[in-house]
Amino acid sequence: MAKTAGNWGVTSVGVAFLALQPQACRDEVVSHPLASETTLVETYLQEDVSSVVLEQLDQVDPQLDVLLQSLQELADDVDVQSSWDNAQSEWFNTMVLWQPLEMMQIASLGSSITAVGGEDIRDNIYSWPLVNPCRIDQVTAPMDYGKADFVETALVSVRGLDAMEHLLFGSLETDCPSQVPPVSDGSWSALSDSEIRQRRVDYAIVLVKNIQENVDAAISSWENGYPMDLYESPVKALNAVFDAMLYMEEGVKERKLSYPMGLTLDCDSDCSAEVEGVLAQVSIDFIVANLQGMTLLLEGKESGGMLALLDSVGETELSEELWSVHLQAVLEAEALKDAMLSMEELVEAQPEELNTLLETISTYTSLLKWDVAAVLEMQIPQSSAGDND
Amino acid sequence: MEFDALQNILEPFLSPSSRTHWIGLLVFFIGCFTAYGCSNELFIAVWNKLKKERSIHLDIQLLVFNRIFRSVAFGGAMYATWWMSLRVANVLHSIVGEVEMVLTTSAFMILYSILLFVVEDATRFLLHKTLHRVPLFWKFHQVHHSATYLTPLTFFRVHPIESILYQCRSILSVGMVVGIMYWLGGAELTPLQLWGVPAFGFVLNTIFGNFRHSHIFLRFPNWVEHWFISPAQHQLHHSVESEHWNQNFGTWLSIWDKWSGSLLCSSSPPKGFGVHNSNHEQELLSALLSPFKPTKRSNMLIIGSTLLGLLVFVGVAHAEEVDDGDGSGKDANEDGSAESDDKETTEASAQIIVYGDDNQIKEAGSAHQVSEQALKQFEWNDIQQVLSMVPGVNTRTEDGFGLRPNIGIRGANSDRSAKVTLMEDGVLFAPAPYAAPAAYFFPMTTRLVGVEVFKGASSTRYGPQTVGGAVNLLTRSIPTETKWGADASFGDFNTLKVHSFIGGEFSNWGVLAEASHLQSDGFKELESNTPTGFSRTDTMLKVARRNAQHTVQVKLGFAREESNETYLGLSTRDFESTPLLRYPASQEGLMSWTRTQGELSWIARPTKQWLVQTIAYHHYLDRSWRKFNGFASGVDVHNLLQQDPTSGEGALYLSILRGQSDALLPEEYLQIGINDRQFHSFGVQNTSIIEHVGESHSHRLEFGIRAHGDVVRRQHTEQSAQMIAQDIVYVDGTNASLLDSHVGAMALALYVHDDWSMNNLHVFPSFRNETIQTSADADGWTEPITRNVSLPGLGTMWEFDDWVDVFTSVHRGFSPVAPEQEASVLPEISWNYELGFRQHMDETTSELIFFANDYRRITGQCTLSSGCDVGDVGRQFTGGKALIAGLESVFRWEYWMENGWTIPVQVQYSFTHATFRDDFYSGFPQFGMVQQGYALPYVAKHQGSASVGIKTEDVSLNAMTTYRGEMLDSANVWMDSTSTLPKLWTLDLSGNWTVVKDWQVYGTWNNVTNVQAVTSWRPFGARPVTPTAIYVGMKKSL
Repeated sequence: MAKTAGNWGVTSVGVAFLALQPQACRDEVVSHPLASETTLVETYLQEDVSSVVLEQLDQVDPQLDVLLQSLQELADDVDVQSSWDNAQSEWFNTMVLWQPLEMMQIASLGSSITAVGGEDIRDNIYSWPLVNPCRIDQVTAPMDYGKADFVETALVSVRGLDAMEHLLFGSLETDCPSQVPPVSDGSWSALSDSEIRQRRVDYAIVLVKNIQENVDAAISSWENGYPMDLYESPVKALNAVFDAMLYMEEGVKERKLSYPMGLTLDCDSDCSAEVEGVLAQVSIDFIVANLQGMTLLLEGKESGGMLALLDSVGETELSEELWSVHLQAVLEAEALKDAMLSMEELVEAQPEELNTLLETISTYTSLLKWDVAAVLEMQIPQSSAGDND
Repeated sequence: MEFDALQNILEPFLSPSSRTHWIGLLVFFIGCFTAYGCSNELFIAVWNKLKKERSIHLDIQLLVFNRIFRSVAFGGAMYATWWMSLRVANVLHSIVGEVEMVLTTSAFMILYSILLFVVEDATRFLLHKTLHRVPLFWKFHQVHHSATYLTPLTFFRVHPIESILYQCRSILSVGMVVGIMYWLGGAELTPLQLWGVPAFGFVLNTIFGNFRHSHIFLRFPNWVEHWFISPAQHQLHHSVESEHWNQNFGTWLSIWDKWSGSLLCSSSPPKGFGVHNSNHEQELLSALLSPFKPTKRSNMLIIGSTLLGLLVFVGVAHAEEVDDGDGSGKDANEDGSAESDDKETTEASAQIIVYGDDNQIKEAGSAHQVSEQALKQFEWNDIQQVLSMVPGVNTRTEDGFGLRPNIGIRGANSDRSAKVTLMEDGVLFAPAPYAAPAAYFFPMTTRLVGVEVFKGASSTRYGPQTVGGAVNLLTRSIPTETKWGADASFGDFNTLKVHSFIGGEFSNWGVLAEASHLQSDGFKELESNTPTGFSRTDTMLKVARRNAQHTVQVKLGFAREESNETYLGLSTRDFESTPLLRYPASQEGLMSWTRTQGELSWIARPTKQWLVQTIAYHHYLDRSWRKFNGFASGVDVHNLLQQDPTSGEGALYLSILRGQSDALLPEEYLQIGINDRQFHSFGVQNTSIIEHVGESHSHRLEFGIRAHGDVVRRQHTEQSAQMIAQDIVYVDGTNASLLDSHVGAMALALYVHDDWSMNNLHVFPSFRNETIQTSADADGWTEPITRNVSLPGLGTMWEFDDWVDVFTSVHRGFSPVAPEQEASVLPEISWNYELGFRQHMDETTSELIFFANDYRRITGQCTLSSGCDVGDVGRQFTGGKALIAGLESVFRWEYWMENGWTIPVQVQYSFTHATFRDDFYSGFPQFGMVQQGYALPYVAKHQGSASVGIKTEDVSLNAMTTYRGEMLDSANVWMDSTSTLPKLWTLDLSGNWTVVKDWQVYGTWNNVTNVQAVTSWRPFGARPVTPTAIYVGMKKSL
């Protein structure tokens, strides 16, 4: 009934409107530059992006078995240093396989508050920089990780591969201030070093098993190809890939480089100490791995990747420039990696090289945000729109 | 009111109705001797106590003080009760008529005695519990509880404010019962007969009353204590031990405590009496003054409550004076009411504005007025509630009290009312109407005497915003004879309103002074007990000099506000479980502003046909808003709360907002912003009206010109803060300046409008021109950008007979470009069409209008409240084309009954179909990714209201229900069902009782059914409907 009444209203108003309207103009036809390249876009998404994501996840999955095995061996005797070394090494191997996927926070992998179809799988596997060492210790001391509902209720800051870094590489001293448990209630000081190690390893095992479940969930959500049904159109589906690429801006440029270099307002203390992989001292390795993820997205597989899309709209020059800057960034990052220094040490020892990499990455993100976004008519998320260069 | 101090002081011991009547005391002393034995030691001990115990000294001091105070303040209390009972009986007689008494006189008296006993006991219980539970009242009541030694005189140890409250209770409860019984047994009994028999409690008082305040632990058997409060139970109520606190509030009956879970049976005597951390010493001055000390806000509540109490007493004293003394009180009141009705219009509803001499509308376009009578009827404090009576007005709730209303007309964006021309007495009042039209200031509704809403072609005369329409608020004029008025009300959430004015003419000079104050503790709950309320004050002074041809008037205003308001709402699930919650992350929220207003006007009538009005004005607003802006990580808080994730980073951020997790990492830091802004708005405007009446046609030509300037300075800073154990802890060294800018606009507006009438045909040509120059100052003022726009309009109206008009109009709508935009940015433009019909007969009025606003370019201007980032504040986002079309209807009917009662009925309904006609992407958060056919956000397709009332000579009761259909939070709702705001029905009730001429007691009950739903997701998070609330008050000549 309401709908009928509404239609009557619209009809009546429409008649009145048309009677009074001198001559309404016809709406302009909106044409997207990729409108004629729908097939190419879909091929890129279905053949390239989904394959890249799935293949990368398929590499992480068996590596998690190896990591779990190393942890179980360590759990048998937590005072054996070689077992620790082995577990730490396997954690690093897992992380290097994971880092390319940081560039692919699309659909189920993405955040439920920012990505279309986001299911927070990435956050459950690796949520850096949202990792809270004190809270991890607060879970460790009373062995809360053993509770039946721990996995369901635990916040991202106490789970995932990032929390595992603290468990495997962290000092035996707690990060918590004296006013809060486990310091205030004396439960941390009551633990022997062995007990702390044991609990941390047991905790890590719980985390790995949960990470495996999340990786399995991610694999099954990507097994059927790119989830096109989540999006209104292929162009909007492509926009989701573009949004994910902007991790180069927020993640790599701002948080992984500018922040430890003390170039952002948010940094109020020892910035280089609050960097990714700070305990394992592998920060630059992760940036290299992130760039590998970009390589996969840009080059693609069957369709020729994002570069081919640019070519298809007549932007070959931009495509070449983007690829050139990308390769330069990879080279510069690899060179810094070869120095085998932590980020804290790099800031001190090789500031110029680090600054050069930052400039290259800045050029890279500017090309993405302005040039690529403009020619492909991609919408930039609000958080990336502001330019503080 | 004769005053005999000694008799008055001794009255507690001589009056049989007093608990400490000598017979009662005799019973008490017999009890003492029985308990302790009659010995010299006892007398010596008692004497020593009387000499040394400061608590007893204070009992006596307060007894004497209160007797004197009561004789002054409550001289008319008995008369007031008597008078009240007569009024109740009269009202029952007039409504129900006489009833036949079926009981014998003795049975009737027993029934009466029981009823009075129960009602008295119940109301005592309620008030007593309130005195304990409401912190403000506890400040006074603890004077009674600070007694460390209990004697029968402790009964009189109360603060005078508490005496007032108990006396009010007594007048209302006894007056009501006596009135009902007089009505039931009126043929056989007089009120005085009834008055003399409140004796059921006398027996209990005499036997047990004085033991309640004593150290004789007189218990009843346990089963009796479940029905009657024993003296021992009352002593536990006075206990110093915390486990006894807030129990046994009853006087005689225990059932009230039992039902409310506060009954404690006696077992062993308490270890002592008194309170911890008393707010006063055991001496008179301290006990009297200490409750007034603590906070500014509680002082205002105290002053307001006292004013309210005094108003009640002045009112009843006045009633006593005007009563004719024959016991009926009928003639004087009927006369008074009739006179009052003659002076004021009877419509308690929005009425179609009337122009011309024949009381008929003469306008091509819709214009509505909410009359002073309608405003009085519901005593709303929120302008959005007032505008719910007007069709075609869309509003969005934010704080629940209308402090910062969001008003749109005919689908124009309601954000901060920026798309509506806002005026007070015809002068723009938005802080900076051209440079920053967001209305962070809005005049207090309580001091308005009318609200006009102009839509369609009738709004062409009022710029700069002409896409939707204009709202003009009318303030009180200087009265032609000396007149004063006062209004005080109090209600839920400790909401207090105090409002008064006085004015008049002396020779050729006229003066009006008006002040209003509104404050509330708010209805939202913060676990840390941080306040969530507000305090607002508006003052206005008008001074005028008049003669036959000229009136020169100065209008000055000062207003201020402090409100603990925030942009942060709730997540979807939290809203469902606790809609009135506020997150600990919002605890820093504080908006404070002051506003000054100066206007000089000159009205001249050079000839009989020519009227000229010139007004020069300057308004200044200085505001600061400290509030939670977001997280350092930049996560979109609006999305976060709407999506309400249970996993991922979202779950972490939500747990921080809720105070469940500490925020210790840099990404988790809360960003607390302080947005300071200063606004200047100034100008001169002139309006001339020339009337020409010819033989075959006439003209009413109106010219207007306005030179206006305004400027806003924005200084926005932000500091990072950690959340530790639900407290905000600022991080040193993170204070950063986000914005420091000036933007300004100068504008010259001209308009001409004519009403050219030929017999039954009226033609209304109009033309408006706006020339606007804008500039901004970042590092020096930018080169000004000048834009000019011409806005033609044309309307026609055909009068069929005298009671039906058909009209049509077309005009060009316009909304200025925000400053700081490049010259290529174009303003919002629309073509607006109307076709309507109006009918007016004696008892009915109706209006039906079809409208279509064809937006050639719709825009959104960024404000923080609309969800924009700080860097985008003031930026204009241009959308595409849009069509907003629909119909508006009003029907009003007033049915006059044979007995003189009237039943006013009003129904208004609006249908609005608002859709985009283009595909586009906009950074304006409420637009986003838009496709042709998407609906505009925050525009309900269906909305309306219906009210019905009944009015007798001195009583009126009204009910009003308001409906708002579903609407969208943002245009792009793809895969996002949570951004639909549900439909909403609310019901408000109000009642007014003209107690005597010019004096009214009133009550309003808002949101009777306590409906709760999300009313807005902006700025971020779900916002609730104001919960059910009752306010009662008394007013004189307002």
